[in-house]
Amino acid sequence: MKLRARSLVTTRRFRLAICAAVLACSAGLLQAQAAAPKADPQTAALQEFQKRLHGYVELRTKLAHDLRPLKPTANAAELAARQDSLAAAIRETRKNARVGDLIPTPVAELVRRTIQSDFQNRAPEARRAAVSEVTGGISPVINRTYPAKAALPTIPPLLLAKLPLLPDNLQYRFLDRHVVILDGDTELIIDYVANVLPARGGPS
Amino acid sequence: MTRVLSAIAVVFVLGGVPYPHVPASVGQITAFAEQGAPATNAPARAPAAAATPPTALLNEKDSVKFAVIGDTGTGGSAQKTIGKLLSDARSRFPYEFVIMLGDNMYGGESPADFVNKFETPYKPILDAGVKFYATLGNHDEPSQRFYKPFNMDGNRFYTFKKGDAEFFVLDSTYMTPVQVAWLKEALSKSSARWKIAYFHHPLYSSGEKHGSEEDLRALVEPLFVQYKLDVVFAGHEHFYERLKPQQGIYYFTAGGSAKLREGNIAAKSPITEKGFDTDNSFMLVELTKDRLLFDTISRKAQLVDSGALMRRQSDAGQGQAAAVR
Repeated sequence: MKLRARSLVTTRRFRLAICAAVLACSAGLLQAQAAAPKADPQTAALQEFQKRLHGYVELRTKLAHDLRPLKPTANAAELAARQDSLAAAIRETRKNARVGDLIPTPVAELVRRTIQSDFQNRAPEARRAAVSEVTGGISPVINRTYPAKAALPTIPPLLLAKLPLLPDNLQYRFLDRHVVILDGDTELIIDYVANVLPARGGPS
Repeated sequence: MTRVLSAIAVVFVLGGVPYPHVPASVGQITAFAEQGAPATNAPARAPAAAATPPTALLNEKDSVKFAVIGDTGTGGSAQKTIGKLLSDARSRFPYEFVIMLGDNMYGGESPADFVNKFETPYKPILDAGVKFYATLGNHDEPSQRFYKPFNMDGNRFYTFKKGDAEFFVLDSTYMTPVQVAWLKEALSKSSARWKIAYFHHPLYSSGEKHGSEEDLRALVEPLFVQYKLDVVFAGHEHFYERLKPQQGIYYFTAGGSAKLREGNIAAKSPITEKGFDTDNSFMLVELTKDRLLFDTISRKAQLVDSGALMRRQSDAGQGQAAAVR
């Protein structure tokens, strides 16, 4: 009986000890979780953006390697043929690509906010100059080339410095009111953010 | 102090003091109108013919000789005429290479366009082995960097050296932080006697259509000043303009080698040293030890500007600084 009583006491003590240990562990975990930095959604989106872009560049590199890589040539026809065959291969591989496949929504919003804020802080003349050569009346389409006879309007360099970096000859360019990401090797539009710039005829 | 005195030296040279005469055999491009590059902020209109063709070019044996053309790629008659003049000039001033200031190809860029807008107009020069070094303009597809005759070796921005000069060729159509960092490193490593940059968009311009590219200037001018760049050439504006030195650096705009934006230089621009917007033009440039000599020639084979600029870190400039101290 004594033995049983001692055993019960021991069991109760043991249970209490286990409970205390579990509580302590839980408290520790909670503390640790509280101490860990919260995942910043924008940072995560930017990391995802870079991951997708590098995936695209890897794809382009692989396709170019399988075809004939772009390299200096004195033969303009050969250069055009290499560029066209690479563009065709990218189109085929990404035939189902849609808006936002490369630019995650939070990054698209960041690009939009950055450009609009930059434009708001520019003098009206500088704003007009920044879009003076932008081709209007054309909507971007993924996998289509940038309009062949249109100028490539320059994104103002101080604005460009504020936008997320793009790798290896991918470029931001304005097209009408939109910002496209252009593959500089193939002239293909690979993704875009729509309606970033003010409407034509609106306040400059 | 050195910079200030160099600037004074430049004003002295440009301030109407006749440049030492050059043998007539060197300067027979044809009837020249003006000499010694008199300082004026009024665009040149219709230069009158002169009896003796003057020129600033010395045609020294070991100097670096090159031509400058900008905004060329139309395939039109003006481009062909300038191409012919370039070829003719070479018999008197045997330049080794040509720098292209962008907009090398307007409109389409089919293989036929490369023929019509580059290979045909400059065929005699290309056949003679003269190299072209291109930069990209806002009408150029980035893939032009793979076109071998443009000597870009697949790069949007690059450097090359000729004699005592190093050329920094930028892609002003897409000036990323990566390119700015590259420029800083390239300039910091350069030990060239002459440091020359060229790209499409002008940092300073009196053009009424485009004007100065202030964003671009904010990024690259501090580097140009820090690393003591001597000269900058740009295009984009379809006329010729020589700017008053800015922070000790000489700026030329030479984007009228095929297209022309007539009457587009602001008449009372405070930054123009010399302007020419009534006809197409190109430049011939010679670098001696301490001087940049240049002739700017119109489509009608008239000399529209000419002169000699002292290198900003020249021995003469440093000597003067020492003497004043």
